[in-house]
Amino acid sequence: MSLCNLIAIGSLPDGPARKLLLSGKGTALHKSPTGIRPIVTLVPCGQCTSHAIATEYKAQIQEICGDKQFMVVSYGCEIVSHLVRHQLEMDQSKVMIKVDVKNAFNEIDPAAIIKVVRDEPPDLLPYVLFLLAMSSVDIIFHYSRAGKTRVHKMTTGVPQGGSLSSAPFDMGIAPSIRRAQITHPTASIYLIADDNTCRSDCHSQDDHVTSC
Amino acid sequence: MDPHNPGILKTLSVAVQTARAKYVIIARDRLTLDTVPLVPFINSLLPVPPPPYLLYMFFFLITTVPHTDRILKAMDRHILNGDMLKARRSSKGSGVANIGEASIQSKLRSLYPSRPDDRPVPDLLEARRQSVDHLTICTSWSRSVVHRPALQQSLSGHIARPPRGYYLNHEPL
Repeated sequence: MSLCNLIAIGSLPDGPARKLLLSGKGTALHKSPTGIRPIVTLVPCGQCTSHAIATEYKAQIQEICGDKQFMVVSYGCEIVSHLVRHQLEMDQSKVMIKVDVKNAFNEIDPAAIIKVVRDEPPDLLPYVLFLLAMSSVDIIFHYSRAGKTRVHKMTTGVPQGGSLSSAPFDMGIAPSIRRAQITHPTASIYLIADDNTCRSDCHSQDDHVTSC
Repeated sequence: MDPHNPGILKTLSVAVQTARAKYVIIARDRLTLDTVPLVPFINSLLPVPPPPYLLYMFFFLITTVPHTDRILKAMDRHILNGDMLKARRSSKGSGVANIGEASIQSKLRSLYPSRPDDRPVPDLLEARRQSVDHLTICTSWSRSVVHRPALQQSLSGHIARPPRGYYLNHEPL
């Protein structure tokens, strides 16, 4: 518990101990049609700390992410699915587009996340700095059947998987989504992490995509 | 195929039709009882079929389908969902990619872009100041342990055990 507290308050200095605590076990899953989805599992201390922080600050994280982000809502995927179907059936003059950002989790700039966290929930700042503002962490991929191990350095982005992986990402993209919504007030935007679905008129879709 | 000589196409078609007819005849002779047997089994014993367990083993010896039910169920599920690619992959194994393959390695490498410089450390001084502030809070927690009434020594020198549920209510997470 003391070690988890030290991780949560970000008091551990940058060095081998921190790297060991934040190193994750990677699993490369097949992703249709020919892609790879790397899932990262943190060491138990990091996982426990992430879960405790996500539980404790759930309300603040939801508030920062905004009402367009359904990743932090229970049954968010089901809600968006039914909402989109309902809206398409109600008004068939509107169109729905889906914006897919390639490798979004691994390539988001940590500075964007740190900026949001510094402005809005400062309680999370030490942990986010501990997670993102120090030296790179290693993601260790091991495939036992072939006996192969590969180590990749994570210099940008947040690890995909784990209890608190999507929360920093969702907070980091929240300002962009707010700007897009202000620029296009008639468009309806729904997000599930990096999956962006937008419903609006045909002529404003291109502008919305550009804004995102 | 020579475009100036369409006769080749006709020859090929005849050959394919002939082969099909030949295989149909063989299949009907060997696998069905459509035709009357030529010999009425008077010169030899009737063939005895093998017992069921041998048939079972023979089936798994000649078949190329994995005999684990889990894989077949997974294939069935993916086919029902219309995802033929996943169905094909599930016939070979799990959904975990083999990182020993060169194509998987290159894909993984592209997913983790490397920068020449390591992560920037924005406002390191502020980060350290934050840590120091929180360390103070942590120290105050540890001091509070000393002042817990449940842990004070009694007059006889015995340290009293805290009541049930004390740590659940008072221990900071």
